[in-house]
Amino acid sequence: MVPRLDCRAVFAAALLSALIGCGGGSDSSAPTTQAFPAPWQRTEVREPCDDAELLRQPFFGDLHVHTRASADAYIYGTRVGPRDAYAFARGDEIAVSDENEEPTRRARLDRRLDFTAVTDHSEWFGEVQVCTTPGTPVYDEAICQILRVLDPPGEQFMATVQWLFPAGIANPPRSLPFCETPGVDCDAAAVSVWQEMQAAAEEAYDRTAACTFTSFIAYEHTPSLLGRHQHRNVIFRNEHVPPFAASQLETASGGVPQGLWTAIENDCLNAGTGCDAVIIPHNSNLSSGLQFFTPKNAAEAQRRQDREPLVELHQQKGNSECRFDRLAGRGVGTEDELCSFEQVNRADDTPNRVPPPIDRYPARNMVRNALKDGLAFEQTLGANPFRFGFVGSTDTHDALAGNTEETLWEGGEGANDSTAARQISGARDSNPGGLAVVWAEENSRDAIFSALRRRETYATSGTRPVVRFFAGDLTDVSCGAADFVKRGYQTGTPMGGELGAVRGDASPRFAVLAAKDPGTRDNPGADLQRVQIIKGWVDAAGETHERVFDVAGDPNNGAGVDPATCATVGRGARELCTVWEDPDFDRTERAFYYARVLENPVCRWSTVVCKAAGVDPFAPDCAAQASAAGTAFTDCCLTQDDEAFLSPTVQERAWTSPVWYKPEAISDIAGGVEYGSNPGSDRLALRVRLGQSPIEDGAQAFDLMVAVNDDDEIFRVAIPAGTLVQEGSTPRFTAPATDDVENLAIELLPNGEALLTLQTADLDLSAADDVDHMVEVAVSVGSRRATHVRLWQAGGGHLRPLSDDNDA
Amino acid sequence: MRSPVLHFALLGALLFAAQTLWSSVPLPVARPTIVVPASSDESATAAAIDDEVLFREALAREFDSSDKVVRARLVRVGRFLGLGKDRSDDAVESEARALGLQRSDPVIRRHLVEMMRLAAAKPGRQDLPSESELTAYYRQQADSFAQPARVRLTHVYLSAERHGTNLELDAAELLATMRRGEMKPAAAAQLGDPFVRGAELTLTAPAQVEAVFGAEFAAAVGNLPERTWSGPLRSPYGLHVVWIAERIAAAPPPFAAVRSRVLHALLNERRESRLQAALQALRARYDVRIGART
Repeated sequence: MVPRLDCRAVFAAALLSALIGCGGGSDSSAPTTQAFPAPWQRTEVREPCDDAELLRQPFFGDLHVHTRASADAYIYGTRVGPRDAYAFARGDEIAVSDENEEPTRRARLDRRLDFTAVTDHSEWFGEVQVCTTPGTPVYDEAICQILRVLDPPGEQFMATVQWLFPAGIANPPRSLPFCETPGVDCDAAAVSVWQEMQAAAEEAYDRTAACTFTSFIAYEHTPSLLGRHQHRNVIFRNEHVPPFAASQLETASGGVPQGLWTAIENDCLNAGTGCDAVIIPHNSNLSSGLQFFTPKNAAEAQRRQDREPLVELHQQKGNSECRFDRLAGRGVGTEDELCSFEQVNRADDTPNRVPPPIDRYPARNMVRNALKDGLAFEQTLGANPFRFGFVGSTDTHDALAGNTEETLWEGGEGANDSTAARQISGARDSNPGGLAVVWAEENSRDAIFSALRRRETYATSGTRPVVRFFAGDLTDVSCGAADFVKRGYQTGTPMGGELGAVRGDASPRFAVLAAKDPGTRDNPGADLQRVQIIKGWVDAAGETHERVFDVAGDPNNGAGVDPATCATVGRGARELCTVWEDPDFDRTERAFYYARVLENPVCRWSTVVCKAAGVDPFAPDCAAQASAAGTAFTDCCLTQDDEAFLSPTVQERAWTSPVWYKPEAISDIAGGVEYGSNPGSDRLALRVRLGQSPIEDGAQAFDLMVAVNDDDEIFRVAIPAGTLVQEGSTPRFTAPATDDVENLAIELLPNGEALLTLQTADLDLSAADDVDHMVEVAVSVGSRRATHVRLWQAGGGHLRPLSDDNDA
Repeated sequence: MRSPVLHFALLGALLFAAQTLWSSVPLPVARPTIVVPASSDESATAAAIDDEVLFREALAREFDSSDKVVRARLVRVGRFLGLGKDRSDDAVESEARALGLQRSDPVIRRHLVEMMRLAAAKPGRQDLPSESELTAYYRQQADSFAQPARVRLTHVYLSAERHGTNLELDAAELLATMRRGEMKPAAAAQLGDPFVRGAELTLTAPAQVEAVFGAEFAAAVGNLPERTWSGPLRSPYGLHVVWIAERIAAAPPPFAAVRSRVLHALLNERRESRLQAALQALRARYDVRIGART
């Protein structure tokens, strides 16, 4: 049901526009605020957005931003705080530190963001505060001074190690030793920082119906055992957050990341305070395989899937999709040559470690490999631990949220990479980072958070192409049809969802509609080169595979850059669209599919910076130019023959969250809600086709649950274990009738599928709004869960999904 | 006459006599003087003055006597100075105080300055604004809370990729048809190609229009008449025939929607003005002299 608040606000908005006399015409002065229920509850006091869209809009954001509240950022010279980060995201100019750690540089975002989370390292909130507040008893101690003083970049590394070491050891102290000094209360200081961050988020959040900006309260949890990153961002849904930001120093004893999961479960999800959170692992490329370790059992796998619906695929410290070594001619579990994109050489952050050769590179540092292994675990354990949707973000340590324009990038690590020379000599394998894009009804915390949770997200390497991706039977979805998107939601799942054998033995259809980044007046977006669909699957023997399909566009479109000016040469596509079927589809093999959208090549930031310094990576006499410009610029002249991952041009790209094909999942739902003429006389009838019988799944050992939800619970029934009765020797099992359910049966079909039919008695189903909106049907047995989300259609006294059976 | 005590007694007696003699003449009340080092940086000088007056005020309020940071520091410095090897912390502390370390130790000084600054800025109960004060502040600062102007539009999109060289002709023809048929927005959207973000933009701010359609399109939208088919406008994707259904001028949002932001802003402001007022009052108690450059 649409929350009442919405109705009030529709009224308020109408009143407002009447008062200020906009509109002009009398017939249209009432705004057409969509009176549809979004598939989430509003958990905060705010106005609904005037521009809410049933079929969702893309919002661009950054979920990984550091400010001076992070110890390392402070060491790098960053002196601006969370308020500044949000101000920057909203389009204001802020100060950035120079190589002397003085705030002489200024920065302004060329395009404001729609949402941002400031994610400072929770490990040292208190310590940083204590060390940067004059008058604390330890202010003059060496450990505090190394935080504040200006170091050459080489020595900043030592300062960082001295500060960050507790996150790198197995049994860390609760805080840095100086917190034991009488008169020093690091815990209290940490709380005050956490409260300050909450206040900054609140001040930046637009709770009006204009919905111009959403802030999230968040932090980064930072275990780095021996330099191997197992970092995670915790993003909270609303202002109800735990009183402390649980850091690795408190949660280490519970394991990584189980200690964090426990803290979030105890202090947030189960705290009864209205708290809700998602956890986003990132930088798996620097984890030496640790980030996505093998799950102990099904429960742990499922727990990870529930806590961690997303992964940060791209950021300043490199890309984590997949890895291909151009010089070796081999990849890590892949032959995909486009996987040499923005790789960092090392496999972790252990000091002085020589980067491993491609054959010994830890496979699960790369997300695509983890996704494939996730399928294999689901096959053997019954639960997929690595069911990640994708986001990108920056990980800026300069508070410069969303500062991803390739040609304007001036670094992201304070003084460390604050000059062209330092960028090239010390941070050449960094990049401007990515963006997180969500498909949400409106720009509010609840709407965006829900999109994150259902993984209706995509990652970009920093640009802003717009990408739709649907999978399903997609009846009548065609690229030329104006109702492409609506039909997509009616007959398929968007990115992030799951599907069963929706077309039997035939491949499901996959529809991609991608539009280029429109860019800005000064920086027009690049044309699109092609769309690919990347499939990963596991075969009957448990072996995993992957294949990359070019599905739209032209890899040989001839576009490139003019080496003299970096101007783009040639054309690509403004839009690409296709409806594709998998030629290798096998309905018995679980798989994932995601779309990758490639733009035409542009000059990489390093090329732009080198050229500005008078050193042209494309020039034959590059070496001579470099020796004139200074030793810092020597690396400008490295070529693709010198380095496996180096490239003077890059193809910016977007990656949609995958859709998972599960043989046992729901392949079709018919029936729906029939509204009665009197209150309490509504009925729900469902015919659910499942790829595998819930009886085999153990419905005799576990309760069988069927639930129908929109923003509310429309209907829910639990059939207790052991109560299904076989009808003689037929393959049909029925549950005893109850007050609510007239009839519930499961019939095993000859092909191994099962048909679950449900007919309710007369009920009050008014929770199901009588308008077109998204409805989820979930069938679960034990830990097995199958969901089916579609845009249901209202009309003629019914609310129903589109289905061949319904049409019949 | 070697006893200092006697000297002091005699001097005291003299002063007493003098004061008694001049009691009909008011004594000039010499204000205490503070001297801060000169600096080429005016703000550094101002900060030094503020620190000094805050420090003196903290001492006057005896912040140092019970503060655990000060006490711990006195014990630490006292023990370093060898003020009592085997004596209790309390004894060492009082010895350190007798030497005036609470006034001379730079760490204690900085701490007291910060404590005093926090105390001076701390909002009092009377700083908590009433609803009427909040709404008054909201009206006064309306600009900083204002919602941007917004527009609601429907566009019929012709994809440059699909229409190729016929794009302009097709658009002109489409526009003519739509105008002739007095087509309503909902029906017209079906005539176009699918646009990745849909055919309707509901109450969208100019920055967002630009983010969707690019700068050229956004600039042109501002000049279109309402409730008629206009265009075609060019975007990076193709051409768009546009219907402006409604414009909303920039306006203040309902107070309830921004109450929390207003409260934060007002409290921040009051905190700052409370601090500035306190500093001003404190500074007024002193003669300030700028000393030699350090």
